[in-house]
Amino acid sequence: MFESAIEALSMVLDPSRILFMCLGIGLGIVVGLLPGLSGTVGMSLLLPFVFGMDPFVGMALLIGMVAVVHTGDTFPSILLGIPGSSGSQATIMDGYPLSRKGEASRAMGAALFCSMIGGIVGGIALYLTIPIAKPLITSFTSPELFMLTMLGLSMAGLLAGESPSKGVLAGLMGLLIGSIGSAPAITEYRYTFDFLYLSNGLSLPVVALAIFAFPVIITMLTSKESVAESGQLNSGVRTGIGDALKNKFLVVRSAVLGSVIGFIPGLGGSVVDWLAYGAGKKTVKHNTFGQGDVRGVIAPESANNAKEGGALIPTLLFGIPGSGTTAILLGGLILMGLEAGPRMLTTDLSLTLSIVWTLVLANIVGAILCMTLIKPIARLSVIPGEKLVPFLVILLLIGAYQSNYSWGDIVAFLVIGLLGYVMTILEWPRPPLLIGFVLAISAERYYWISIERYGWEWLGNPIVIAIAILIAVLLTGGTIMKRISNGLQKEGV
Amino acid sequence: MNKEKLNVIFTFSIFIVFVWAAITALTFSRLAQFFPLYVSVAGSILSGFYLFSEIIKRFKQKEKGEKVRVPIIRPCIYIAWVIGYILLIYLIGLLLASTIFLIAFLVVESKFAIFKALYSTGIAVGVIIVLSTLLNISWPQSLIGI
Amino acid sequence: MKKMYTLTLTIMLCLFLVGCNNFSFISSNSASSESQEYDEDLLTMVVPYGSGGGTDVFARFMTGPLSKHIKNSPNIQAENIPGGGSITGANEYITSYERDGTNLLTTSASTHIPYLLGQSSVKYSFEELTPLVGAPTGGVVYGSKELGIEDGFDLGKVEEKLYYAGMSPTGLDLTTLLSFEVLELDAKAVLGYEGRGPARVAFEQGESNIDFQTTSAYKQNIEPKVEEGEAVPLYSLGQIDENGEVVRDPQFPNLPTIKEAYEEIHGKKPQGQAWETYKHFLNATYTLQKVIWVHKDAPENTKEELKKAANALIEDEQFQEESSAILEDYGTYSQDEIERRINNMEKNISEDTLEWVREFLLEEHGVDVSKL
Repeated sequence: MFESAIEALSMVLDPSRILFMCLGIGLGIVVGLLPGLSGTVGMSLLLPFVFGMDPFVGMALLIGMVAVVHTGDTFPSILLGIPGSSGSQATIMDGYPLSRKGEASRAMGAALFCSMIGGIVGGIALYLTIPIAKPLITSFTSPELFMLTMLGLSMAGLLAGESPSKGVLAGLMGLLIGSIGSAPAITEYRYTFDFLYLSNGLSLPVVALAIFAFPVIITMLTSKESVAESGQLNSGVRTGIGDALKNKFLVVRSAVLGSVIGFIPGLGGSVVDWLAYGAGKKTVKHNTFGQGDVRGVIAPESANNAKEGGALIPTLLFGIPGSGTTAILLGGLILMGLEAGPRMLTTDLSLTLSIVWTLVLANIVGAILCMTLIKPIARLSVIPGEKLVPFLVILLLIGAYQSNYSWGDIVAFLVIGLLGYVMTILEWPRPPLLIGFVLAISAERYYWISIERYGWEWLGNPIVIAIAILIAVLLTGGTIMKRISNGLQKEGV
Repeated sequence: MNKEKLNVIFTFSIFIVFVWAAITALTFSRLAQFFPLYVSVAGSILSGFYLFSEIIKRFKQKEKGEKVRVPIIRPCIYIAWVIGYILLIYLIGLLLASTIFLIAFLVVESKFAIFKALYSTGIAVGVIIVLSTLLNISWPQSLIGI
Repeated sequence: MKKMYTLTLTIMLCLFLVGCNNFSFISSNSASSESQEYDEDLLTMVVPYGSGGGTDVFARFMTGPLSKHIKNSPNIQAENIPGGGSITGANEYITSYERDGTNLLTTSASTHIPYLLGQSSVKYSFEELTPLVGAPTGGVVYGSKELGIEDGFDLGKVEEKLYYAGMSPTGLDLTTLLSFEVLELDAKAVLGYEGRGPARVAFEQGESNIDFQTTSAYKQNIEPKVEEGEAVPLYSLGQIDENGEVVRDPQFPNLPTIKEAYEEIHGKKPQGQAWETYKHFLNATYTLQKVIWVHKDAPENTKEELKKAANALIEDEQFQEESSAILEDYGTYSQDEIERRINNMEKNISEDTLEWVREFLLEEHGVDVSKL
């Protein structure tokens, strides 16, 4: 396989393919940068053009785009506290506080560098798992997938902040919002008030934008401040890269986590950043996650780029999309006269390998391109709120509208946004709500399938028990560990 | 308004929503019912307890007299701006609505000089047009169909 | 401060332009040439699904060849209206698209089923539409080797409990579920999977032991398994012929249909309400799986032009070659044939069939159609 990898590299380096990859990268960064537009929009935009294209060129275009969406989406998350795409929500948690301190450049330097490393790790993961992908994918049965969604939900508990009951309630609210629309096991519409719009449930981009961006808008206006509280901007791209290098184990750890979660079909790639953030919060010593700790940016940013590499495994080899973006990629493959399936490993192996290379190259090019943009874009954070916000409002509304092209998107944006604003001023944590929303449908689906298929037998499955223990350790063990480390610290003093 | 008081009101509304969701869930068929029912029952119980504890806390705190105030009027004005803008889009379409909204907001709230407001609005509307043609972005439909 | 403000705006603008200019380069290349003779130079193809799904790919693929055969080759632009399980988009096509023959609609099995079931949210009707192009697909039911049988004729001898993994009783699974009902198979349907892909993984894990896939997915993923001995093809769902009878699938000429399997197992021809319902839904979801429509009350001359184009497609050898992957080698029907088939389907539906399928869904799967 090594020889064919080299051969694939020479194919990727063909000038016309490089050109199309760069086109893809350009578009990927733009859709990442614009809140509300994400890989899905970029994909559907490119889809009409790949029809009949040479697969190598077409894939260079598509993968180039996919690879860098989570590089570009870092900017709005850090600078404005608005998720640039649904994969960069967790970056807000520490990225935005850093911007408030005027350290936007540092945060972005670290984030972009980690995005690059994460993307490369994702590409390598894709390469390494190719021979063993099949047993890996088929090793997760429904009960195990259900436990994995529970693991994801337990992150909500970790992110609850000071008041656990507020956090759990927010998570439950998310689950309830997530159960709007058709149930997975039966076409029965719940809580839809007879609106056809609600019959498929609310869209993640709308909810993510509303819950984070709307409160930011209003707060920026009422406080009449720029994002950077002092109105001054410290430079520090290099410091940021230094931060990332200092935490290389965290970077690699999160990237591996990202690609692993990405490749598990059915879990929903949108929680990857939260899982990485939560895992980071639990494992990094002496952290101040949530108050502007640069490691809180490093963890999710390493993971969300790595995810795309992982998500391609089930997509290409099994025709099972791991995310909304890859679902469209499947359509793109068909339009180029190919079909996802085991054949991607035999007759079309060179194409699969060229995808790996494109992924790696695009991540490097994309990150470097974004680095050069840090300086001008960081200035956004010193513009006073009332001058920046009106433009943002327009951008956000158009962005929200791209989910379903329906007025329902805008109404949902407003309603959820108001909820988010009230939660902000009352200091209710919002991430649990979002995690609950994302995982609601998977949790319901796999719970139902487990019960229906196995009765209560599945509770005895060893992997299920192992994950249950892991969840218990995560929820309780962390506090115990903290106590121990605090105790040690005191002794040290 | 007093923050604690607002928190109690908010928790109470969440409690009502959960209870309503639980009652509504009872009308669903078995397959569609279990998940929203679990969630909303858990939510009702927890929010009930939390509400109770908050009210008790409030009674205790009353003597201390320490209250954090949350601004109400200013946020409402801004929210009204956003809602007004949305209504305007609904009436006259995105382009016209954005133009009017931007000019009005920049002049009234951001205290821009008219000329500068016009100039910035022009650029922004230009960006919208360029974006939507090149990125194939759709706009909300309005009553008069622009 | 003012400077910075202008600066940022300019930067934003430049950024957009940089990002977008790249893009316009491709679009200008691919835009088709327009000419002046014909008064229509832009048609819209409404796709009631999101981007990248099977129906979207079909619709986008068809825009090119179809436009080639319409006078002056108008550009056909696909417009996705996702949501509501394709009901939203199809409704919108009926209620708010101009009926001047410039707007087309692509539907699929999951658009047809809610209409056939008479769901209250459905505002479209086949009576208001004229079909132009129609393409079928097929389905194969296969089982795991654990069942210990060689082919579908032995289904009566299976002792293991049958588990079937599906998505939803009112989607494409309906036809397969009806086929179990016809064969009187006692298969436990575990519904709620995310798609046919995850259902296939469930089969590989042993979570289910009887499953079905549509033609190309079957050929891609299951045929290798059959060769390895992991899976056993049981029966094909078949196709409905001109006379409304179930015949062998042209893509699987060696595989018995459900009808033959029934005759072998039960020693008589299938009949009764279940069988009638099965045939009806097989027709609507497989034989007529993908259909491109135009408003029925569009101007007659425009409709004629479109019909002519649809008929020309069948003669087009280049189209046949290019379309083999997307149409799974089935080809499309001629316009007269698809129109006749749709009319037959409308004529043959009886209140009894509807009543029966509603009862079936309610009793077997707990779905109350009147609430949908």
